[in-house]
Amino acid sequence: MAASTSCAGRGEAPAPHSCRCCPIVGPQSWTGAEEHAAQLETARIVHYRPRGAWLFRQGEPAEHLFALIEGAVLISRDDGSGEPVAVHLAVPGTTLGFRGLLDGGRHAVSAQCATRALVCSFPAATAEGAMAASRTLEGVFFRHMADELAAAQDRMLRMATLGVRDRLVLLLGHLAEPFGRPVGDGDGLLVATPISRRDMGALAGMNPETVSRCIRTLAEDGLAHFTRRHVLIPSQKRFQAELARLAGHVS
Amino acid sequence: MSSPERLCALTCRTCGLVSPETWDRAPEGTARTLDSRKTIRPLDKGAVLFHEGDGVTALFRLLSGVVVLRKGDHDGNSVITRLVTPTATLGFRAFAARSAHSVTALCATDCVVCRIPADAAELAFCGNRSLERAFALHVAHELTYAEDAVLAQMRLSVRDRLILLLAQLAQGFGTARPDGGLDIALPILRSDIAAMAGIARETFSRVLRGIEADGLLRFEGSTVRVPDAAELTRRASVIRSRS
Repeated sequence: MAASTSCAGRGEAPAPHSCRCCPIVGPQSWTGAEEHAAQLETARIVHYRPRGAWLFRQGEPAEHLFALIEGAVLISRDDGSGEPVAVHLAVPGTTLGFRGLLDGGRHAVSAQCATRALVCSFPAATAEGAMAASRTLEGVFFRHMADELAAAQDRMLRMATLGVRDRLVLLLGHLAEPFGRPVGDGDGLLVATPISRRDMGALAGMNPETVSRCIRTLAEDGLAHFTRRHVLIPSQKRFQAELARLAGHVS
Repeated sequence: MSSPERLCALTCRTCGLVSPETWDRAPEGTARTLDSRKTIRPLDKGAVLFHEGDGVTALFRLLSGVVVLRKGDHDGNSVITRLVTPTATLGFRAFAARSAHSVTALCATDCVVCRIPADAAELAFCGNRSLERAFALHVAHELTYAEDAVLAQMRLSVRDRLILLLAQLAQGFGTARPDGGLDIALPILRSDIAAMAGIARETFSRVLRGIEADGLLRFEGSTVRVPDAAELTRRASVIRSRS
């Protein structure tokens, strides 16, 4: 499945195209499924997808599964009027599409690259054969879906117990690590947000009008300044203190 | 609805979670072993299946009754993330993630529950892949439910969210009256209803007064009196069709 740069700890030469070295599923997943690993290596496609590319759309047959190696993928649901609403931001190390395969064979959500993304895609039927041979491999896909549910439950709790401003701060905290870089004297942080304000609002559980109001509040507080594609956090120390305060409220 | 005695007599082959054929394909003795380890028993309202933060010692399948899943924070706030109805399974999220339970599962009514020790489930899943997938499917459904709840909060008014939730509670806990009305015996507190609908308590009281003034329903202690059950269903349908 996913490419890797080495088989850590085995003293072998880098094997960038070996499913058996894929860090997302782990080498132990292939015990008993070596033959299937070879089939997947033949069937999979690993390449960079441009920002905006769709991996799959809601309602389509789940014919392929995906492993996200680099970049970010936005998971969204149709809001009933045909507009996609963001429900999750997938980061490297996760698999995508298994939920659709499990639940009737059609995708319940859409997946679109929020950044340029390195993605391994492979036929679901070939993956099913490998999973039938290796319960450990199937368990990786179960685990990623389980993690997504835990994140959704956290979001429900935050929506019930935190105000909109605090929810946006928490979301910024999640985006800061993978997409931020230090600026100025080192205490500042510039976050290259991979998603639109509308999507940020959806992930924080608020409508677009409320996002605009929250953005103004955070700027007035001197905590974060939003431009079209970036968020400048003037002081990481202050921002971390704010996150720590909120961490006391949410599990 | 089956009686507790009948439910307690179910076997792995007859419980209906997976087809009997999948057991035929499993290594000999898989179903028998699981049967000998699982326990089906009635639980009283208020019994806890597992607490948030607990390690996974067992998986569960709800055979009758209603279980609430509650998630809390460090300040003592909590929200009910789902009302679980028969024949859903519980506990597999944490089992699959190899992590602690992320919610507390509490019987909101008297229940009949099948309990499968985690090590027995592990063995059964090795022999019957369909069984593990059936548990995983319920995680997928729970994920969809959580997303639906969040989306509803973003696109529906507080009034509409409350009507939808009460219509949902009416389905699970309503008792029809001869006059076309319905009484809903609430299994959860008003504050839980407000949190589930994503409504602040103050707003909840105001919105509820508005709904009561319209004559759609009336709260009396832990019972909701609905004068016209068909009208509540119709209003909920209209809201769903708009969303």
